[in-house]
Amino acid sequence: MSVTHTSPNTTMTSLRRRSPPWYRKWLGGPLRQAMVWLPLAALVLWTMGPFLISLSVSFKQPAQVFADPGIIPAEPTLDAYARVIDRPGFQKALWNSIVIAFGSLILTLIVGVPAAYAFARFRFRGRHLLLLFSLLPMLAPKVGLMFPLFLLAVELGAFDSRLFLIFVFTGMLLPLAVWLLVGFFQAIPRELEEAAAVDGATQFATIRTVILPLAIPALITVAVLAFREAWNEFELVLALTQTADSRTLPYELFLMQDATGIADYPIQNAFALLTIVPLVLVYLRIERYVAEGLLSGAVK
Amino acid sequence: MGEVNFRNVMKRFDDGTVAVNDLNFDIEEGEFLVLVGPSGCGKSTSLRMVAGLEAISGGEILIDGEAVNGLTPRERDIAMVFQTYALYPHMTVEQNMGFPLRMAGVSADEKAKRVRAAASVLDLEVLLNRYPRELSGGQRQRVAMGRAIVREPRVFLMDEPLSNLDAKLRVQMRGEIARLQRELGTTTLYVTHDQVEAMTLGDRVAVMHDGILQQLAPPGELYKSPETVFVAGFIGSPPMNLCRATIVEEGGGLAAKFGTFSLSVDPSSIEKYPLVRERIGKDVVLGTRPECFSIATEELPENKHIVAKVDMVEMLGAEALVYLPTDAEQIDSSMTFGNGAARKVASADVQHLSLVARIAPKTVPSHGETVSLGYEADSMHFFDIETGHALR
Amino acid sequence: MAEGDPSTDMASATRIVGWQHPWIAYLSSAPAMIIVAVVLAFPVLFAAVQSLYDISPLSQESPFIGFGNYIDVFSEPSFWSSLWRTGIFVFGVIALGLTLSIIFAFALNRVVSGLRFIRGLAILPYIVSSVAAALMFRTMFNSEFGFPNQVLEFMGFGAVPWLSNGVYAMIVVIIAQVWTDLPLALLFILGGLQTIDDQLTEAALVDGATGLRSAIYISIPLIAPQITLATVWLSFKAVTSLGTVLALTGGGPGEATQLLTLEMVRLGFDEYETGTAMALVIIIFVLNAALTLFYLGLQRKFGTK
Ligand SMILES: Nc1ncnc2c1ncn2[C@@H]1O[C@H](COP(=O)(O)OP(=O)(O)O)[C@@H](O)[C@H]1O
Ligand SMILES: [Mg+2]
Repeated sequence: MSVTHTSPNTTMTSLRRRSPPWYRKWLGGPLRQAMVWLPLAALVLWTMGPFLISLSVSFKQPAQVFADPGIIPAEPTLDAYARVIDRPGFQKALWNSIVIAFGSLILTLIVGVPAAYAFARFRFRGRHLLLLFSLLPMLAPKVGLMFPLFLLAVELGAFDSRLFLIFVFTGMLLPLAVWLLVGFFQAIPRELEEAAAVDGATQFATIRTVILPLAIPALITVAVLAFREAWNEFELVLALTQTADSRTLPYELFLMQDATGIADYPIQNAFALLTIVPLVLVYLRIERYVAEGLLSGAVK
Repeated sequence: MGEVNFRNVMKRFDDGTVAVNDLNFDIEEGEFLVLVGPSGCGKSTSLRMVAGLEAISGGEILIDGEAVNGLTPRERDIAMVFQTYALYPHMTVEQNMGFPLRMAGVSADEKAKRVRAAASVLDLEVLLNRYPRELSGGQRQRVAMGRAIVREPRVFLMDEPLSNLDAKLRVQMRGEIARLQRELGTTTLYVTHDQVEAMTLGDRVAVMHDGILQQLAPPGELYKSPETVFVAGFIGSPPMNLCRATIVEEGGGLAAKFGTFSLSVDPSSIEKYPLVRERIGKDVVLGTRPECFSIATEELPENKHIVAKVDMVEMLGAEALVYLPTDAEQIDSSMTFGNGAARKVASADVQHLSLVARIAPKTVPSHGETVSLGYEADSMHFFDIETGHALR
Repeated sequence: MAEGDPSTDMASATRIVGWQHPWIAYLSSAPAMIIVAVVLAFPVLFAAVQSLYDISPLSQESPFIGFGNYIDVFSEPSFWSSLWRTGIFVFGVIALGLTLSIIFAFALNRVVSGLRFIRGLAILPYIVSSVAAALMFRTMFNSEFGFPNQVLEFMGFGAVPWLSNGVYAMIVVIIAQVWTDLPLALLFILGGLQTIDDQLTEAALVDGATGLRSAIYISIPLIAPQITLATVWLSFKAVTSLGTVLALTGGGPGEATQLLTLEMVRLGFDEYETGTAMALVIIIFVLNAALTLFYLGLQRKFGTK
């Protein structure tokens, strides 16, 4: 690479072999090791740091937070968690979150699977809409939809209704879900479908007995993505709900900040962590699907 | 039960490709009919039209006298074995084989009984609880067969079912398919590009080329009297020597001159190809089978043998292939005849025939040696050089 | 961008006789189309139309005023200042997000199989809601007991007023936003790195390039498409970010983190200025689309593929 090293009677390679530059040893050894390990350590710290601090604070009494700023609480207590769970607002919001997340997940699958099958296997006018259909969430980000949807909900008398939230979340999720499923259905060899046809299956029976069982990984991916989206959604819940009867955990958490005042850090963090727990439990089992779904879904 | 008729069947794909053109033939009840031809000639398309996996663009396909053009595969009561077997990956062997019965609404008991019966015929009993991914290629192939036979369909359709097996298994399965079909007596349409498979399996063999049926006949007849240049070149291994020849009158009989060579035409050949008489002074396609040549051990009269220098010898053990360069114009059997395709090519483009002779190993000449080859007088083949059809 | 784009692949269409009735396709895709039309497409059109009318709680009538609302928005100093803050925010998120995702992706790409779980860890923030993340960051950046200040104090520096100083607050908001959106950017770039033929980087090493140089001259140009994708993603999330900022600073201190989206919420939900809020909605849509096109253009101009 560097011309300065060449002398008239030695080629670059032979010279390099004879006298490697002084920094070579470092690059091959400790420094190179450090160049891999340092970023990895930083990555772990970056990702886990906020969780650990939050966890630490959630195990303290409100007064301790300031008095005992160490990471490991001197007197760990589950008091904050007990107080969160006792709150009626939390219980209601938890129930709403569960209903709405499962509702959105189920509706997304029920509506998305037939649409994806149609896009994957049929030639019909409107098929070319798939790309536009899938790009819509990029073109129409939900932050911009909050206000129009709010007005629409008021107009329809659907404001502050869990059903309308399920409907809206399904609309948000469908483009990604359909896109993922279309790709997956297309990857199922057409011969399997043809074999089922000559084996005497109707089109519907083929979908039920051959296509869907083979698409289970994709269905799980879609279900997880849908659940996450509905579980975590904040902006649209903010725009479309008002009372505790329909708001979900993120909104409840947001409101509690104001309600509890600045001082009560433990209860806020306990609340935040409790909202994450169900997803972590799901996620630990099927991290592979999530990572794959994320990637394939986002590359559109 | 199980007669299939093709009536002017045509297939044009969306992109305009005509894959099958004006196909007319009948598969008789219980018959094993093999559709053979080179890759891309429209075999699979024809088969898939019978199955209902491909719409029929023109004409009609009848099963037991009923036009099936508009019927779904389910309504046609046929079974098919795919080249890739198309086993359902999420089902066990038993579930795979039972699937057609399940779709037909057969009771669980009856289904189990019939699956077991089919499994015992195919030696699959111990594999019933395995998944396809746990099977070898040969086992998968048998499961695919099993799935086809359990439902006792009117017609079996098989699309190159053996082409994913290794050579030894292929021979073994070939025998097994032949045995099964004989025992069950189910009408079978079998597609392959392998002429050996076609000749050994078929009651009759249909040869296709470029979407057109060339000839449909029992295997022996295909070999003995090919209808077209294509069939002549396709059936037989090594293939027939095909070259341009001129028919001349000579010493009261006829002779075929090709390049600087000349062979007299035996009256028995003229009897088989009577139109040759009308081609005196004209060009025809002459076909000679490699296995009909032999090394002449005694002096033969002019016109009864050809003399040439050996270019190459391939020893195959039980026999040897001897290649002799000639100056006769080679005719490519796979070209499209009709519409003047075989008009005289510019002399620079002429491919000279490298004549192949298949002879007993005892008499094999060596490279560079000049040999005299005799030819079985009654097995010459003549075709029209414009249409490619046999001159009869 | 996508390999095997399902929307262009017609070869998978079924040809089985009797299985191509278009009405089946229409029937089975109609519910999805209708829901998406109502939830995603209709609001955009609705916003576009409403933005042309003067709708406010003060008057009964809502006359058509053309681009009047836009002119109103553009003549508000608060619009320009929040646009400026959005610009800083978006730039900060992209700069920090790309830097981190590239560094982390390179490190993850080298990880031996026993450490694969680190990849799983790296995706964890993806399952945290924006509000929960904001809360965790509010705790972490508390100026009295927060971890960063403890570290600074330990090193002998004074405490930084993270959330009560406008500049610092913007930094915290940027960090929190990057934290929530990094997983996907990281996965994009990691995916890109994994497609690079090892022989290329090995060849570079034999040619004498050090690891860092081979990264800069070989790998990064090769993953330009994935970097673009990560940029589009980070930018999209930043331009449309609301929950994180709202829950973390609420736009404060003062107006230091009042982004366009917060401005839109204030106009629409607090002041009921429907017409102007809708104009702002449309401006956000356009800004987002324009930025995306801009990155794609950059990639076309400078990228390798
Ligand atoms: N879906 C299709 N669209 C257009 N052309 C096709 C299609 N399927 C097959 N073909 C063409 O039709 C011809 C016959 O194909 P096929 O029946 O599969 O041949 P074979 O089975 O004899 O090898 C080929 O030229 C092939 O390229
Ligand atoms: Mg074929």
